[in-house]
Amino acid sequence: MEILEQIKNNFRDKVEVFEKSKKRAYISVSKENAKEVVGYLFKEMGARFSIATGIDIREGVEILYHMAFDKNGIVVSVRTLVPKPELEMPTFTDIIPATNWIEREIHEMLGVNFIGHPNLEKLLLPDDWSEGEYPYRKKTFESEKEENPLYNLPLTKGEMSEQSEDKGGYK
Amino acid sequence: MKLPKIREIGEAVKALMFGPYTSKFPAEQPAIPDGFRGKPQFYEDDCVGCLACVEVCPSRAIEYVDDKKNKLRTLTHHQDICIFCQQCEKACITEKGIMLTKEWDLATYDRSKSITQSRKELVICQNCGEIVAPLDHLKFLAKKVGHLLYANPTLLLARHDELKLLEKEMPLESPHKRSGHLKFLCPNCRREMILKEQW
Amino acid sequence: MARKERIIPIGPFHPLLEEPEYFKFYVEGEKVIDADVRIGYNHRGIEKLAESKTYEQDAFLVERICGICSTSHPFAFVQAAEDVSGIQVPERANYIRTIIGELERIHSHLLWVGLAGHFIGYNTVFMWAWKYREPVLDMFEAISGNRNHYGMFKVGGVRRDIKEQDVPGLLKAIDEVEKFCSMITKAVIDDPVIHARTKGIGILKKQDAIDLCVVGPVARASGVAIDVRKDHPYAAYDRISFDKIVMQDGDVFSKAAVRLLETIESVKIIRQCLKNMPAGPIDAEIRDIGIGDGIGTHEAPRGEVIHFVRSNGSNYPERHKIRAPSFMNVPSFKKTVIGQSISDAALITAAVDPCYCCTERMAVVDKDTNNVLMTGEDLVRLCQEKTEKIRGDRIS
Repeated sequence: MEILEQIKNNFRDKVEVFEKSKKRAYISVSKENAKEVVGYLFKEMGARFSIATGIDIREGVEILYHMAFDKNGIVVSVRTLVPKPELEMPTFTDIIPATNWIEREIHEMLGVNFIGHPNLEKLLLPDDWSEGEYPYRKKTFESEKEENPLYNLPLTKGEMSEQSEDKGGYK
Repeated sequence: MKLPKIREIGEAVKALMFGPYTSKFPAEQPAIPDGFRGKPQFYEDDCVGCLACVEVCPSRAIEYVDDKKNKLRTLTHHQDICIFCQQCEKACITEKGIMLTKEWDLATYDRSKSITQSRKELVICQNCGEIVAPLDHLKFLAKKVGHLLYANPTLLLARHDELKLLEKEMPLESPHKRSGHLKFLCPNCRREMILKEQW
Repeated sequence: MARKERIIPIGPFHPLLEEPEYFKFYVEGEKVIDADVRIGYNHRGIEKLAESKTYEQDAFLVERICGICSTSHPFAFVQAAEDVSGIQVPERANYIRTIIGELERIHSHLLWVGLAGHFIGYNTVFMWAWKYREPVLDMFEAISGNRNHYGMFKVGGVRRDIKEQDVPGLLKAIDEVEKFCSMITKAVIDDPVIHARTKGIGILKKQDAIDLCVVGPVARASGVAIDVRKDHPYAAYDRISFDKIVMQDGDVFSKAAVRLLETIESVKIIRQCLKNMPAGPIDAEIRDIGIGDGIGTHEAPRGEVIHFVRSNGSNYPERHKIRAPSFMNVPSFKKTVIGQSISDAALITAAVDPCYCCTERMAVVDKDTNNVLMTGEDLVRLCQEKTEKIRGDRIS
């Protein structure tokens, strides 16, 4: 894929390139080089910013920037990892104005702080949402055991239970 | 500006002559095409109570309640939660247990009446009291495996249920004796009985 | 000396917006000097809910994100799930998917044309456009059993087949729709009152469109020639001939013209698909989705829809990201509305075609005293009165 060749020649060791198929490619960069790589893709190579995805994984928050090359029919995704517990990332709104809303959404749903964003307020959640609650974060097994009754199953099976009714079907 | 108006006048005349597209409901009932997605309905004779429809429903509109004391499994489908996706009909193992009808006029004042139910008799393990399966499900499986059913005592007993080969209320004898072969047992208890049987 | 500013809020429930959102216009006299938007009134947490449902159940869940473009989301989602490990879809299923996607484009654009006509003041356009949506919805009912939320897409193919004996009836219905679409296209493009009312209003320049990464008819009306069906071909689009409609001005008239001309292209696509559909199976046998990431895109009536799926080998997706086209298009109103008069502001925000739902009630509030100055009907009436004034000037 010539696009990947051009990126590899320009950035050498800063990127790791994985070509998944004829139409999809993934590039891994570190947090410090992400802005340079995405800026190069947007300005010099003429890609269009489609959207950014934030995923909660064990080491931190993984952010993927999906850039669409409309002239070649390829979508290239740039992957970075924002480590816990600081969760800070420089903002991209000065080079790509379209990232304004999606950075606000990743901030309120996953708790990533974008440094330099002009207006980091809530986009989708109501104003009286409690601080520190990030809806898209995964729950660990320990925290789920207290809240979810499905995990509090009886320890012994195979004994005649006193109750005669046994409900099922998620209600 | 006069010439373009002619095509619109043609359309206006047609609209005046043929009237609006809508039909005068409720005086005239609309025509329902084949394959229309109406309200689902349980057919108790064909339903076996296997709970496949409960697993696949995307909006969790079907729920089930197991009653061990009365040996009854009740499946309830709530029409006000249903999204008419037809997945329950596609997943049903007998293909006739729950099917979509053509009824679409479902508005009602009483939500508790808009349900459809299926009641199935349950088979209880005579040793430990756990639920094995609904009786009709065992009969359906017994018909499907053909002559291999004579290798499995639970299926054999279910298939010939009308011969009354066993007294369903008597528990397993302890220490385990040969009469344990002709009892309804769950897989764990059946294994235990075969290993510990005293000749 | 402090300048007295008035804020005119439009929303969250307003007739010309199809869904609730809250627009605030800062007004001085008749001119708009600043604008602000708040969204989130309809947020239902679907991305999080999709992680607790299997892939088969997700195809029904994402359908219910929107009522008008209800096929676009499953179309992109099943392509994302198939992209994870490269599942091949049979040919007949590709053609059926294309037909459903294009039928939906026709009915969505006709709906928008009706609404825009109502807000300019041409109520007949509204009535007729919505009348000719009915043959399209009847076609949907014959193919899939439902007028909305068709439930046709699944991972690996489609759920129902189009029978051979139904094809002549479908071709006849599409002829009827085409006659109306050509008539309304010519009527709108030739009408001088509509020219005077909508040309030069709410211009989005090409460089702004590229910077804000807008998609769909909003981008094509400003000269940015992007169309997912031709740039990233999928389903049956690379075997069918159709044109990309691009205009250069970027005003409300161009946006309306792009949408109307697209309906005629959609009719051409549906005819070619119905005639060239090969025989064969309609779904592929799937064992599992595989481990990895997948991206699926589709050209919805409002722009590009993109879904991202990360799978960890189980039956449930680990992360499902959904981006509707209006997420990129709605922020562009800030560039188009500043400097225009308040009676055009309503029309400009509707020209973006935000995919949302409609209700009524809004108020104009004086910033200092909190008195209600104008109600919802008044703003719509302002919009219609300006048209009357323009028409009156031309005739006299």
